Amino acid sequence: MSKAIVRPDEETLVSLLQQGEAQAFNTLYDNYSPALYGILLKIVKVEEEAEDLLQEAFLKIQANIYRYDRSRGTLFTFMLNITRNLAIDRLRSAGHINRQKTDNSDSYVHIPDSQTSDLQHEYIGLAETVEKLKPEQRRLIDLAYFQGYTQTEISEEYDIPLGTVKTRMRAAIQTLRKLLTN
Amino acid sequence: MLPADYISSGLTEAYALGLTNPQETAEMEAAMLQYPEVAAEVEAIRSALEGYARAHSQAPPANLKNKILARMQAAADEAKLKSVSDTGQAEPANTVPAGLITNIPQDGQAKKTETPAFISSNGGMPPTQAAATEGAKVRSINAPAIPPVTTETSFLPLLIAASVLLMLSLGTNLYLYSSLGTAQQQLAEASKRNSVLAQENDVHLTNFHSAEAEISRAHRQMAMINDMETKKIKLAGFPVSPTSAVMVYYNPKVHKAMLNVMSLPEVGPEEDYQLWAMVDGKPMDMGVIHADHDMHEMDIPPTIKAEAFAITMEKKGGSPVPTLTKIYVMGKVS
Repeated sequence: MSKAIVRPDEETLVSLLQQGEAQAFNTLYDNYSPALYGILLKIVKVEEEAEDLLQEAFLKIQANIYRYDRSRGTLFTFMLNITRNLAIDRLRSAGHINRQKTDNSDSYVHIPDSQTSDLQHEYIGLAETVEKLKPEQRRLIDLAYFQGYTQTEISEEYDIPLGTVKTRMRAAIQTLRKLLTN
Repeated sequence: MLPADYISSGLTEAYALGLTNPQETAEMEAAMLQYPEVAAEVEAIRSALEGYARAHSQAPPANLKNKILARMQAAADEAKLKSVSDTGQAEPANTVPAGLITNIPQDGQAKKTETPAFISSNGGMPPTQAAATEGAKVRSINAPAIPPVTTETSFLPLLIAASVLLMLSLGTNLYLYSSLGTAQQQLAEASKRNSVLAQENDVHLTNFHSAEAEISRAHRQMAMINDMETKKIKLAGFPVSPTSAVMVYYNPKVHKAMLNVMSLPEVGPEEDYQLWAMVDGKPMDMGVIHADHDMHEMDIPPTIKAEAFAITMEKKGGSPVPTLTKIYVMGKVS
């Protein structure tokens, strides 16, 4: 699973970041920018906007790194939350969020250019694994994880009983866990 | 709730997704502390979600990296500069030359290596600095992969140690200096408080002395009232002011009298009450009195034997002879 991806020792990285070490920025960027950029693309859908948000996200991560607390999750989750919230704020402030719009990101295909294909290669295995999730399970996880919808909001938006949303969310994540551990 | 309830409630997922409200977050964090299985479940979900997020990875455009790193560097420099200027010590910021950012190898090259980009993208650094950074810090991250780089730079640890000591010393000085300032301020405040307390003490002392005087006066008066020789005379109201009343305690033996004004009308600013002693049917001036309710002590000339006492209202300062139409109270010595 995620261990296949080379990750630096988080604690050391965080302390170097807090000291403003240039090399730490480099590592941070190399390790996390593809994941964050991919998520931004999924949320805002427009490359230009995703690039802009990626810059903002890294600066905000840098400014808030002192808040990072290992006991509350991994560095990646910390970064993901900052990035996701920036993107969601952008969408909502711009007023172009359309909550009823069906998220067809399941079929979102990004054709990597030649420069990024090597990098992309590392994640192909993961992407293929995730493809095995049912579309509605992916949609559910996308809504919550990427778009920041609470389970209550999903229940209201899609007119599904809250209990059912919880059950389905749990099932989707369980399936994801199994897929990733295999 | 039991651990299994947390796990099946949907709260675990919501928490791992970062979608709980503050109350739920607190609840989950308490549960994670209490139940290792809840913590493990959250960790597993988080890890799965991270895998999911990474599965969507897209390499950002290559030119974005330099832009972002330059901005992060600028922010870091600004922060460093700020902290340096705060200490009043100009230390050259140990920043990476701009060349580094443009010299970063292509992403592909950086990513293929087994070691993280940390090292592989070090290529653009000046050798000493790269060695310093690697020798001091980076090696710990990638311990297995990197050979030590210390051969021609053995003085560097000393240099680093000296810098660290200097910074520590500067920090300590700053701290001590600010502590001194604080201490001086506290001292000034304490001495100010002290003088306030001294003033308060003076007031208390004065109050104490006057209370003491009050008590001894009360004792003296009590003794006089209880003396066998003291005569208690009630001066009753005259037609001018029928409700007026004054008690006189007269002791012919010690030639003293005390007046206790029970009731007398207030005098105007141009008037005074005056006490008279009737001796052989003639009024003798005993002086002006004040119509307050305190005991009014006065000496009676030893040569006289008062048969009665009277109080009249006179002009300010008193009169040589009483105004008979203005007798307010009078009483006979029994």
